[in-house]
Amino acid sequence: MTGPGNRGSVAGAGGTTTSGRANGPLVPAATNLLAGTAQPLVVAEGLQRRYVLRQRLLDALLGRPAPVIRAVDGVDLSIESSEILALVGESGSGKTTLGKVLTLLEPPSGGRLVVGGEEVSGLRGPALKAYRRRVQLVFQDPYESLDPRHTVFQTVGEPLRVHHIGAPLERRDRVVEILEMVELRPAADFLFRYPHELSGGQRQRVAIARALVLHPQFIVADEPVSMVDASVRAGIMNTLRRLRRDLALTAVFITHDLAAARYMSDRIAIMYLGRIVEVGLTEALIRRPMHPYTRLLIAAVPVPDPRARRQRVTVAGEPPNPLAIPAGCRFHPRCPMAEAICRAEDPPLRHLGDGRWSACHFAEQVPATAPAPGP
Amino acid sequence: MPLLEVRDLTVHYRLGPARVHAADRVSFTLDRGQTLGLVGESGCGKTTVGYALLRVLPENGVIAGGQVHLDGSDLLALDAEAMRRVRWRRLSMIFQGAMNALNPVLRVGDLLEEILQTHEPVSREEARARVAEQFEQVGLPRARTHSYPHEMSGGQRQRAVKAKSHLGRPDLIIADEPTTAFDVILQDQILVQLQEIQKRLGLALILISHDMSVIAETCDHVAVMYGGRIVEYGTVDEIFARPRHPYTIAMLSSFPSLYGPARELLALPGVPPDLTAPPVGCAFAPRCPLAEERCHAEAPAPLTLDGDETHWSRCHFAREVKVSALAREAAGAES
Ligand SMILES: Nc1ncnc2c1ncn2[C@@H]1O[C@H](COP(=O)(O)OP(=O)(O)OP(=O)(O)O)[C@@H](O)[C@H]1O
Ligand SMILES: Nc1ncnc2c1ncn2[C@@H]1O[C@H](COP(=O)(O)OP(=O)(O)OP(=O)(O)O)[C@@H](O)[C@H]1O
Ligand code: SF4
Ligand code: SF4
Ligand SMILES: [Mg+2]
Ligand SMILES: [Mg+2]
Repeated sequence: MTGPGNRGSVAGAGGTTTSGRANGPLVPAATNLLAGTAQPLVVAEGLQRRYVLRQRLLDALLGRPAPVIRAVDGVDLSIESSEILALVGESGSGKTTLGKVLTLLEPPSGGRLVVGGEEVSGLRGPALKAYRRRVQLVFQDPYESLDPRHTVFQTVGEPLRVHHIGAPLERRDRVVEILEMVELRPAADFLFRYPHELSGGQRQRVAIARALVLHPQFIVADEPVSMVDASVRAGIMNTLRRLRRDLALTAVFITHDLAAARYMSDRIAIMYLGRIVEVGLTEALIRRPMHPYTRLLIAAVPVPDPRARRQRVTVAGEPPNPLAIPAGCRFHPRCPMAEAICRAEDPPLRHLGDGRWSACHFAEQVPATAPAPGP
Repeated sequence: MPLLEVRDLTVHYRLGPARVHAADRVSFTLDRGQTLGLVGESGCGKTTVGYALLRVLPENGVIAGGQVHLDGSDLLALDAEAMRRVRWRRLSMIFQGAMNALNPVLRVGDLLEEILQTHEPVSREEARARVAEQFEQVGLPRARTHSYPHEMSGGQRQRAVKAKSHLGRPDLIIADEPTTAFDVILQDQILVQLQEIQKRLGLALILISHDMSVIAETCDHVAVMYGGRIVEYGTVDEIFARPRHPYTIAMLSSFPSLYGPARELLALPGVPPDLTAPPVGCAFAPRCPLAEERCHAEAPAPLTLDGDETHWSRCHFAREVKVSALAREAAGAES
């Protein structure tokens, strides 16, 4: 099977796709652009994650349905081995939820998830535990992800202990090795420190070390919205880039900042209200977005040059609400290009060549972004 | 005469037997209608400077020296009551994380009316009218005065917080990280609002931020703080085009950009200085790629640059080629 934005796999190879939605095939057939490259490591098809909210008593008595949040609402996506894919979208678009579902920290409510050729969405018990060894989610918020009562050694070594890997002494060597790898050097200085004895950046590195200690097949790194120090953030991003080079790491990098996505990724997937609405090679997608929402995200990024006059695009309407996803194209209430068809028909992800996919009826007409803004 | 003139402002926090030297001889001026960006990494003293200007430091905070003149009057000499009036009529602050400053159980309009009435002898109707007018000034429909905070989007709440800070019609607003907790789209909207309101009301603004891109788009002047001190000051164009302090240069090279050639981002090694025991020499020396022996021994005085009195840097070598070369090298590092 081929996933949207997948630039490598042979069309149709490896399986059939089932069509579950009214708006066309779940995964459109890709043109084979770069024949001979690897199969995708991860393929998501129509992946869903819903949260059913508690109902008010009166509504329950009246037999009204409980409100449902469709946080991930039919995601089609593929991730190639050894690539960094940036997942970009505004707050509430479902990025973290998708990260949790890809790593099966939360079960999908629907759709398929195929990793390394194996369907994993139904895994339970020991098989699920084994899967969680192979994939890791890094919450990059250093204040929430570390247990304040555990030393660095305990935190990073815990996954080894839980999965009964290595004798205690070997575990120590493994922890030291991994700390050096995330540039906590010399590792011996850090082993017995508690989180409060570490800087914010060091805490983030510990969280990454913990995720890497089991040599996962892929990781999902979730960047907090407010990364306070640019320099610390740059350090973390550089480390992830180096790890990708040295370990051929496969990673999904979650951010709301396209500038960071550009620095980090080979490809970018844009998420809006629980769906992937555009996927493409990083530089091409930024230079020539083919979804109006992508264009809007690009226009919102501030330019670090006081002489630049950025071309602002104003967003109409309210931030997206996953409790009430609009019919037709889910972006239509805020879209400057919307027409009648957009209110009626949900646009499927279409392949537009060169590994680009867009879920917009008028993808070809989206105006290019301004070139580097000048004085 | 500038609207605000701050000279050698020095603030300590008592911490048991120790003292945190959170602001050390901070000096700058600000004209009417202008925007100053106060930028620097976490813990360098930005919020402390804001608190000290308003005289709302926490209990263990002490203004240990310096002068603050607002429109000629010496704020540090005022008694508490006079200072309270200044905070209402002249100088106001949007606090860091102010989104939570709205009372969750009060309708936003009621909260603002209450605040207005505690400061000014106005009738209920007048208060209501002023609040509604203020809502329109910040781009919120009047009907929003009836909303509770949880019924508003992030951007709307941010506007309400702004309306709150403008109620007394101050000349100067200090906005402490107003965009930090938001995604790019909201951040952009908030910045547009800030600029519109500022222009309409002719406000002066001190924008505290760690984000150089935000500063670049919003400010006229920039003060770069490091370890409790302003280490470089200049017009926004000068700071971005000709940074002359190695810390400023490092900050500028740690930001990813959507445009231009892909550059390798630079991360500063090491950690910020311990402000309970600030170094005798240059506070940046332990992390500075250009540090020499002299830097560890002797604190640098501000040096003006290129015959431009308004651009200065606290680096011994600010006028020397090695600093400009570092700036060029950092700007050009390809990834
Ligand atoms: N456990 C949950 N129960 C109910 N709703 C949830 C739950 N987790 C997430 N949601 C909702 O799902 C939507 C998507 O949330 P998610 O955290 O995935 O967004 P995000 O893109 O990561 O946002 P941010 O950029 O702010 O981190 C939001 O509306 C959120 O409120
Ligand atoms: N009440 C306090 N008592 C003791 N030390 C304090 C207190 N408040 C702040 N500090 C210290 O003073 C220094 C400056 O703090 P301040 O809050 O002004 O920094 P900041 O530049 O605003 O940082 P951030 O970007 O994280 O908001 C820091 O080292 C901080 O730990
Ligand atoms: S399908 Fe229509 S509403 Fe949706 S993004 Fe495209 S133009 Fe806009
Ligand atoms: S004075 Fe020395 S240590 Fe300080 S910034 Fe200049 S070169 Fe670096
Ligand atoms: Mg998230
Ligand atoms: Mg602060």
